[in-house]
Amino acid sequence: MTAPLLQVDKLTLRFGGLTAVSEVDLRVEEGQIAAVIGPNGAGKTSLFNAITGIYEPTSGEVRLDGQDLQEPMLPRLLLRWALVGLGVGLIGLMTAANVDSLWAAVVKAQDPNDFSVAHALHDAGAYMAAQPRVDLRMAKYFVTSFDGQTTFAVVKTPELAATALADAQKRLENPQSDDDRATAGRALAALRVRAGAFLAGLLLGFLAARAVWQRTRRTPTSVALRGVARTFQNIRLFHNMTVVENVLVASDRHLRAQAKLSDPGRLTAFLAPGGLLALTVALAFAVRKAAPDAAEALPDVVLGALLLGLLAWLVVIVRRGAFSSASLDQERVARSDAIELLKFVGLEHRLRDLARNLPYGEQRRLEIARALATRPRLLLLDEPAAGMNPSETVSLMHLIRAIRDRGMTVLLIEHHMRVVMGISDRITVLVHGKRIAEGTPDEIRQNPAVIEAYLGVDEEQ
Amino acid sequence: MLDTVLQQLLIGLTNGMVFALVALGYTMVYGILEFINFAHGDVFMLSAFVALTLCGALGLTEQSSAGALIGGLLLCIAASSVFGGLLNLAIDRVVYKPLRKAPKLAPLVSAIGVSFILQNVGLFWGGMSMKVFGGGGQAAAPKAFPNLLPATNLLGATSHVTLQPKDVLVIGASLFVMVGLYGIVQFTKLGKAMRATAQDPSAARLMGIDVDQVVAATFLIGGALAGFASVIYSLYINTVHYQMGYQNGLYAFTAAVVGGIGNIPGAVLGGLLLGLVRAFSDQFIGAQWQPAVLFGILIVILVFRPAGLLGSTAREKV
Amino acid sequence: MAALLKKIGGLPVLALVLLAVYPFAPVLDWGLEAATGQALHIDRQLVNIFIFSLLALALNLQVGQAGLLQLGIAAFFAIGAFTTGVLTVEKYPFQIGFWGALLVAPLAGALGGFLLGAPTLRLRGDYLAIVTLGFGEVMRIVLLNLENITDGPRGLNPVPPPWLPTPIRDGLSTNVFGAVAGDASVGTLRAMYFLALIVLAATVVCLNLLEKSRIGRAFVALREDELAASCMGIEPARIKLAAFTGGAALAGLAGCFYATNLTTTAEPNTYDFNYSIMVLCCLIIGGLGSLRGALLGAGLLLGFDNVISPLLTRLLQTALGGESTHVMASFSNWRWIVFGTALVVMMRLRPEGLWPSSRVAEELHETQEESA
Repeated sequence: MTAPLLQVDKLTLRFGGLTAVSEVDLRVEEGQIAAVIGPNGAGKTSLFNAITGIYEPTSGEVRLDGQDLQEPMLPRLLLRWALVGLGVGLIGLMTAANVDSLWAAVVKAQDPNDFSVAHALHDAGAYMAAQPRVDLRMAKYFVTSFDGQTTFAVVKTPELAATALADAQKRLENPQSDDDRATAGRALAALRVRAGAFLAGLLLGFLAARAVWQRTRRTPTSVALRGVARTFQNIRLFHNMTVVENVLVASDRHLRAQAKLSDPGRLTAFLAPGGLLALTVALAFAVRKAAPDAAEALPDVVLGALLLGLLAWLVVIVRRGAFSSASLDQERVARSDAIELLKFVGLEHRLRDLARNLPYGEQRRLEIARALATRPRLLLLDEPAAGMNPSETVSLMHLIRAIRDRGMTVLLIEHHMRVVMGISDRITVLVHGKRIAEGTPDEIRQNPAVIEAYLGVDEEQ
Repeated sequence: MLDTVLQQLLIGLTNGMVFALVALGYTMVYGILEFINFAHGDVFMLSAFVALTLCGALGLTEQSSAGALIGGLLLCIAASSVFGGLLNLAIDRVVYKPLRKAPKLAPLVSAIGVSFILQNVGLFWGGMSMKVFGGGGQAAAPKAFPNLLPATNLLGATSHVTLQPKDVLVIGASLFVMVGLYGIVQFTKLGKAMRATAQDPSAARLMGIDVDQVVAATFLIGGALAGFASVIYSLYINTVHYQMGYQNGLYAFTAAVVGGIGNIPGAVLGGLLLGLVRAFSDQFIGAQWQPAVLFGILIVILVFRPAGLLGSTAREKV
Repeated sequence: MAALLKKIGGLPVLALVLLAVYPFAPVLDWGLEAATGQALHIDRQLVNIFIFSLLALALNLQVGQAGLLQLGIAAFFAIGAFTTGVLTVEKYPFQIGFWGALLVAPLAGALGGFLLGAPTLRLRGDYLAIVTLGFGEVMRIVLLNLENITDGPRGLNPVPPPWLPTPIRDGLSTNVFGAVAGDASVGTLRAMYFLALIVLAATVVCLNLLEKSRIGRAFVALREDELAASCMGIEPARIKLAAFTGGAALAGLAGCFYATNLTTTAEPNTYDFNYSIMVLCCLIIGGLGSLRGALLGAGLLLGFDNVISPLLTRLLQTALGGESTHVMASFSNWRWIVFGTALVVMMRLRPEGLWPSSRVAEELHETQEESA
């Protein structure tokens, strides 16, 4: 036997001391119309909220198609957290190493118009390793300890500076004087602080990323993306959007998925401008290096590369962006789909009206159309017939059946017994957060526990 | 080393107490109205100006007699608290109250506006031609608040840890006020009404609670706390400045968020935590990085506990 | 007349054409100079307004469109300005010039926005206010403290003007009567004017398209009902992060223009909380969530600061008889009372701003109707 479409196992939801839902089991087979009934405050809406990720269940599982609705723990998540940790760790490292002094040691230590990247990298390495370094100040070369507190030598040429630097390194490796020992000690302490800051940042970032992931394992969005759509008991439309816009908002998820499918080269396209940018900067550097006296030529090269880069950006934006011709095509399709859906629920005469100007019954229908636009497999309806007159109720029953006939599975909460008994394949009864009965409409109608719950026990008996 | 740690603990505690007092005003208003009263820090600042003006008018200096000092101080505290409370209440009545049902952004933006107006008033106040304001020639400059308490070390002159009468005053007075506030919130009818309103304003209204009065009382108490805090802060720091409301308000609000906004013990906890972190970061990292350190702590706490240390996750009714 | 206006693309196109022609025939300047004997240089003021408008549009994307209360926009503006400074000044080896910085500054701003937004945008809305406020403060302090990089309180200068091919530069130094005599910097000033104008116009067009795209729809849905929107498969955190990063990038771009126009990054204290609120003030006055409102607000605010405020100061001084040094005698000391009152009054009387977008006006009025 295949797994049911929706399977809720021992779901419990507690708010402080109040148990809203207690160990409820629920199964909805694909293609069915199922209903949850029960007196007010029985925990029906709370159950819906737990299924759709609005409330985090205290315990229990919700499965769709046999798979937990919580995002599973995957090895690649570890990698993601580690990357965040690495980033935070680097921030910690840079803070501990003092990025300001690093800058002074790497960038300011050389003549800006005769800058060697190799030299800069070497300086950066020496600084990070808390080794002695050479600073250029007032046309003299200062050989100092990593923190600048000890000056080993002041010389006039780079060659002499190199020798002095080697001397200083030797002195520190094999310290003879108290001063040297102190300097070496400071260097070691600084390295320890840096390593500590890096590791602390690494751990913190890792844990933080994990904590955020844990909180968002099941969100309304992730549940919706898995194919569960819903309506709300107290209609929650986007009131100041038009009817058709309400539906379009919901179909965007579908649109994006389609766009992804039809665009295999997406990543490279977005990376290309970044690469071009890097190229621009590199080119500017290269020209400066190659022909320092041709400063006049530099701007032309930069300008050329820049225009090229801008052009690439524009192409990417026009081709792939939110307002591209491709997306205009999608928009047209989405619009015609939305109008088709609105016809299906009977709102085709209202397309351009603001949602808040619709009468109550039509607002309920619009909410259903909006939910359908996400192309769900399972549709949850929270009291769809509330506030409807008898004729509206009848056409609602037709609509729900038509939705089922389109291949969707429907789970509804309803007080209106004629609706429930008329269209449901299976009914679950909740009382005080507990499931007291489950069965076909006929079984439920004759179940003594249900009758008792609805009519109350006659105390005189 | 131990001495340094003890000293910083003490500094952190006193600073934290002041933050906590100001944070209480933020958190109480937020708890009931769900809105950040940006002008709260500036009520604090203007109350300090009231105290300073009063000091100038009474001619209080370090050399005044003990009786005059005690009397003057009590008067300052009373005047500033009353001023703070009434100012806060007046702002609510005039500016926020008409916006109760407007979208959330409206009162918030108005509060920012009020904050600017009050800051500007502080600037002009600093231009008063009184002696305590340095004659008013330099309105924007920080003003010296007379050092009214003796600067003796209560632990003896030889101790490496300094505990001055003003430290004792800050901690003692703050504790006294906090316990008093706890008593009010926990045991009086008003306090119960406040808690009920914070939980569910419409239900509270249905239960016959005059929500309007509760809100008024909240602003009054919050403002009075800020006024009280401003006096002890000025006594402690000995400087008054028209931008002190913004700086301390920022810290106090951070404290309220760290503790869990809307939660009264949380505000105290957050204030103390922030005070301590600040003291230790000043000592071991460097005072110039103080805001960065505190901000980092705020982010870390919010990432791990989005509702603050003691706050509970708000559950939206669906 | 109205029909003709519509035929050429409406008010925006007309404004654009007028602004594009104005520096070559500054009729207003000529008139004012003839009347008062003082040169006002309206085109130089306009550059400031363009740049400030860019910044206002950046904040509008975050606050007005995505509904994120961001109180530290100045931080991203500063990131853009200082990135430009570091990459172009003579004392550092990079010297990639204005054009390179124009690309890198927005990226730096975006990076800052992403790093701040990624951990914090999932938080409750109110918390974002304090987080961004704190970030603005921290950025200012960090820039002050990184003295080796930013030159601390002095700021980095001189930031070089954009390089232009000589014919363009010469062409820019003319007006309808031919070359402007004397001032060699006129070409650069004009270049800034047109660059800022072009970028501003392009930004307005892009933001306008964005508003009509599905991302724009998602913005509205999130503002109206975040929970319902997320149940429809919209990822609030993702959309918000995109808006926040985009706004930060735009602010960085504005910062690049600011530093280049000023030829210095200015001191870090320029980019304080007050600056952020001034930008917010623009939006509130013009109309939150409305592109044209942001532009109007920027114009009004800078107009007040640069034209009305000095005028009132002169009046005050005359009224007080001579050169009073009292703090209240200079109207620039009143500006926060003016801005503060403007915020309070606008929220009370016209929360949708002076020139709102129709949708936002509806949103605001709906809540008021319901509450009435």
